Amino acid sequence: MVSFLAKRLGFAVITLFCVLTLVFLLVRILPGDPALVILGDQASPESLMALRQRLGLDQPLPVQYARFLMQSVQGDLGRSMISGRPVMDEILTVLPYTLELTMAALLLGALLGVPAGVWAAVKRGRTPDYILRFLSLVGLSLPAFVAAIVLLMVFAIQLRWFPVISAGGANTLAERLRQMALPTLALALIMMAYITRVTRSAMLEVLSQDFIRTARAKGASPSRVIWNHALGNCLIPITTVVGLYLGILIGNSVLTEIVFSRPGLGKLILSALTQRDYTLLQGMIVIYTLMVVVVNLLTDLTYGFLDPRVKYK
Amino acid sequence: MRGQRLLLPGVLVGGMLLVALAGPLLPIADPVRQDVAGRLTLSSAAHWLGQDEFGRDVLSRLIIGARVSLSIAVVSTVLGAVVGTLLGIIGGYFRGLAEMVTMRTAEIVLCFPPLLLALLVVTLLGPGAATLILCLAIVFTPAFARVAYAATLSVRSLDYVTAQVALGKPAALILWRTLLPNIAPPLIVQLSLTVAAALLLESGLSFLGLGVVPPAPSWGLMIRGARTTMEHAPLLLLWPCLALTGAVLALNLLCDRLREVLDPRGSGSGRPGFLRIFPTLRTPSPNSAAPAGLLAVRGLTLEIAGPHGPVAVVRDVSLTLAAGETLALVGESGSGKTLTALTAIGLLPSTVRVVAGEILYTDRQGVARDLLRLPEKDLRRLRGKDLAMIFQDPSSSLNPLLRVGAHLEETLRAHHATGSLGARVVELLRQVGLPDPPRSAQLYPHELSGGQRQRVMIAAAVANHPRLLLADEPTTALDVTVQAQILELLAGLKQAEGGLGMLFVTHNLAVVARISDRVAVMYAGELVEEGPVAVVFAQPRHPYTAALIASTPEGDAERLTAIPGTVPQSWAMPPGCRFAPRCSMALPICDDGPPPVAMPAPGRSTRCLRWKEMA
Ligand code: SF4
Repeated sequence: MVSFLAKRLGFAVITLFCVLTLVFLLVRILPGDPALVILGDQASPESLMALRQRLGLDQPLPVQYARFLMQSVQGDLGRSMISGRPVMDEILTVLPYTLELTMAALLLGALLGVPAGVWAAVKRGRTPDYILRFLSLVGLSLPAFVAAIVLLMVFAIQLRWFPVISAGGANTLAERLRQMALPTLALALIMMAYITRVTRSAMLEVLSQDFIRTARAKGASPSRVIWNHALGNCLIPITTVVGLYLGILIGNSVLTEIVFSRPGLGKLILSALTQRDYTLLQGMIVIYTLMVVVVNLLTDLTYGFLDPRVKYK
Repeated sequence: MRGQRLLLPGVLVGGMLLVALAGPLLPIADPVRQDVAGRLTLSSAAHWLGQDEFGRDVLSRLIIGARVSLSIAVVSTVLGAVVGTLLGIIGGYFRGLAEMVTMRTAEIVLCFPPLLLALLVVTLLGPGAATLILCLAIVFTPAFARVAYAATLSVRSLDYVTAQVALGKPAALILWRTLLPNIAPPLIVQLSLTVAAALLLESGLSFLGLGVVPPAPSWGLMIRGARTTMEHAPLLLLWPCLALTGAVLALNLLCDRLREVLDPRGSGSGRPGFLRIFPTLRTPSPNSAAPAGLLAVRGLTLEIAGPHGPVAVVRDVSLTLAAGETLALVGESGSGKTLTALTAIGLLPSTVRVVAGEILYTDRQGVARDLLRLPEKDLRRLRGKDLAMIFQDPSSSLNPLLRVGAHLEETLRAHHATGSLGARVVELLRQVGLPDPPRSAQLYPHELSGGQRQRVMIAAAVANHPRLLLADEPTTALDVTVQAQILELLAGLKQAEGGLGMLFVTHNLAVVARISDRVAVMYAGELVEEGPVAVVFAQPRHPYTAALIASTPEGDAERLTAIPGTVPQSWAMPPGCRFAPRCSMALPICDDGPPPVAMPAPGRSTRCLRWKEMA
C-alpha cells in the first residue's frame, strides 16, 4: 500500500515537474517581450528596463528557471502581469465556482447515469435499451458549448425560467441553485452519457460471469443480483471512466462558464489569454494539471475501497 | 450480415465528406459575400436557410464550414494517428527505454485537459488552420500511442511472432506483416472516435475565437456569431448547432457500430448473461404417473441455434434419483451432462432452449412438481432451499467483493432467515471443515485456497438443508489431494443430511466409483447406459462405457488408451447410433436408426443394439 502510494505520488511529482518545465520554456520562447506587452509601445526604454528587472527577466534563463521552480514548490506562482495581484489569489477567488459546478455536474451525471446504464443493460435489445443508447450517443456528441447555448436559449431566453447570466451576487441558496441549474445541467448531460455507456457495457460483461449464476442458484432475488452482485463489480470501470472524464469535464467547464458568463477558471483563463498575461497563464496551467493529477490519484485510491483484491502492489 | 449495421452511419459519414469535398463545385452563394440589406432575413428562394448577421448566405457557410471543420479534424487525426501509432508500436515492441520515453510522455500529455493544451498552443502560435491542426494532432497522439502500445504488447506475446523473432527476421518486416493487421481494428475504432473529438475541439476553439480566423466559415465560428443575435434570430443558432451535433453523432454512431461488428458481445437481445429466465414449457405435462423417487427426468430435449436451424444438444434423456441416493452423470465434455443438471435448477445458459420433457421433483410435502413448467417465482423459492448447486470453478463462482460470511448469509436470507445469522454461519463453516470459522467468515474469497473456496460453495449449498444437491464437476478444478478431501466432505454431508439426493456430474470414473450408488453415462447428448455403479463397471453393456473404463488411468497404466475419434458436432449427428463412427463393434444396421433403449436387467438400461454380445 505504502510503496504503491509512493510510486503514484512519485509519478504525480514527475508529471508536475515536467509541466512546470514545459510551461516555463513555452512562455520564454514566446514571441514578444512581456514588458513591452504590459507597458505598451509608447513606453520609454528606462521604464521597460525597470520592469524587466522587477519581473526578473534580465536574469539568465537557468536562474529564472530555478527561481520559478523554487517559488512554485512553495505555492507562489508569481504575480499577474496585468492586475499585479498574486496569481494564487486570483485563482483561489474563482476556483470554488468551478469546483462547485464540476462536482454538481459529476454528481448529477452519476446519479442519473448509473441507474440508466443498469436499466439499459437489463433491458438489452428492448425499447428502453435502444432509447437510452441513442440518448447517450447524442449526449456525448453534444459539444459542451452547444448544450449550454441551447439550454440557455430555451430555458433562459425563451421560457425565462432561469437567469441568463449566472454571475455571482446570489444571496439565498434558492437563487444560487437557480443560477447553477443550467450550467450544471449542460455539463451533467455529457457526463451522464459517458456514465450510462460504461455502466451498460460493464453490466453486460459482469452479468455473464459465473458468480451471477451462483447468486441465482442461491435463490437471490433479481434485484439483489442486479444491484448488489452485478453493479458492485461494475464500480471499478465506472470509477475509471469518471476519473478520466473529470479531466474533460474541467476543460468543458471553461466553455460552459463563458457561455453563462459565470465566474470561474474558464473566464479567468480566457482573459489571461486575450491579455497575454503569461504569469497568470502559467499559474493556471499548473493548477489545472495539479487538479488532474489529484483526480488520478484519488481514482487509484478509490479502487482499493471498491475491490478487496486491489493490493496496491 | 453484421456488416449491414455499418450501412447507415457509413452513408451518413460518407455523404458528409462528399458534401464537404464537393463544396466549392456546388452552385451555392459565396459564403463570405456580405449583404447588409439582407441582414438576419429568414429563408428565401435565394437563401434557403436565410442570411446571417452580415447578410451572408447561411447554407453556403454551413457547407463550406463543413469543409473547413472536417478537413482540420481529419488531417489532425491522421497526423496524430500516424505519429501515435508509430510511437506506440515502437514502445510496445522494443520495450526498455523506448517504452519508458514514449509511454511516460504520453501519460504526461494526457494529464493536460485537451482543451487547455489546445488553448495554450493556439495562444503561443496565434490562431489559424495550421496551428489548429498541429495542436489537435498533439492532443490526440497519446491516445493512439496507448491503443497501439496495448495492441502491440498483446500481439508480441503470440507464438508466431515470438517464432519470427527467434528466426531472426528483421523487426520492421515482422511489425509490418503481423502487427499491423492485428492492431488495425482497435485503431480504426480510435480513428473515428478521434475525428469526432477533433470536430468537438475545433468547434470549441473557434467558438472562443481562437480557431478558424474569420471571415472563413466554420461551424464553431457560426455559433459564436449567432450567439450575439440569438434573441432576435434563434434559427441562425440552430443550423450550425444541428450540423455540428449531427456530424459528431454520425461519427460516433459509425464508431459504435464498428465496435459492435468487431466485438459483437454488447449487442444481442434478451436478458443478458445469467440474468436470463428461461421460459417455462408451454406444452402440457405428459401426465405420466407420479414418480417413486425424489427426481425424475423424462424425455428431456434441449436445443441450441445451429448454422442450419436448431440442433438438439440433449435428446430424450430420462433419469431417476431416489432420496438419499447419489447418481453420477458421466461423459466427455460436450455430452450434455452439465446442461442436464442446469436444467433441473433453471439456470441454463441463454443460448439453450428447453424443447420437450418433464422434470418431476417431489417436494417435502410429497407433491410432485414439474420444474420445467414451474413459473420463475416458484422455482426461485426452491433454488437454494430444496435444490442446491455446486459449480465447477470455485474461484469464478464466488462474488469477489463479498466476504465468506456474507455469501452464506445471502443464501439464508434469500429464504426468509432473519435476525443475526453469525452463529449459523460459523456452524456451517465448521461443518464444512474450514479452519477457524469465525475468522474465515471475515475473509474474502481471494484470501482462501481453491479447496477452501469449494468448501464455502458447499456450505452455501447445504445452508438451507436441501433435498437435492446438484454438483457440477465440483473437484475438477482442484488438485488431487484436495479432490479426495472434498469428496469425503460431500459423502459425510450426505450422511449428516438424511435423505439428501445428489446428482454428481463428472468425467472422472475414479470419482464415480468412490462417491455414487448409480451411474448414468451420456454420449453426444444422449443417455447411453445406466445402472448400479458396481455392476456397470464390472460388466458394461454399451461399447462407449467399456471404452471409457478402458481409458481411465486408474489402476493399470498400460491399458491407458484414449477413445479414437471425436464427439460428432451437434449439427452433424450420425443418423443411427451416435457412437457408430467411433464404435469398434459397429455394424451396418447400427446406422439404420437410433437404437432403442434396452433393459438388460432390472434397473439397467442401454442404448446399444449389440449389448448382448458384450462379454
Ligand atoms: S448400436 Fe452399434 S454402433 Fe452403436 S454402440 Fe451399439 S454396436 Fe456400437
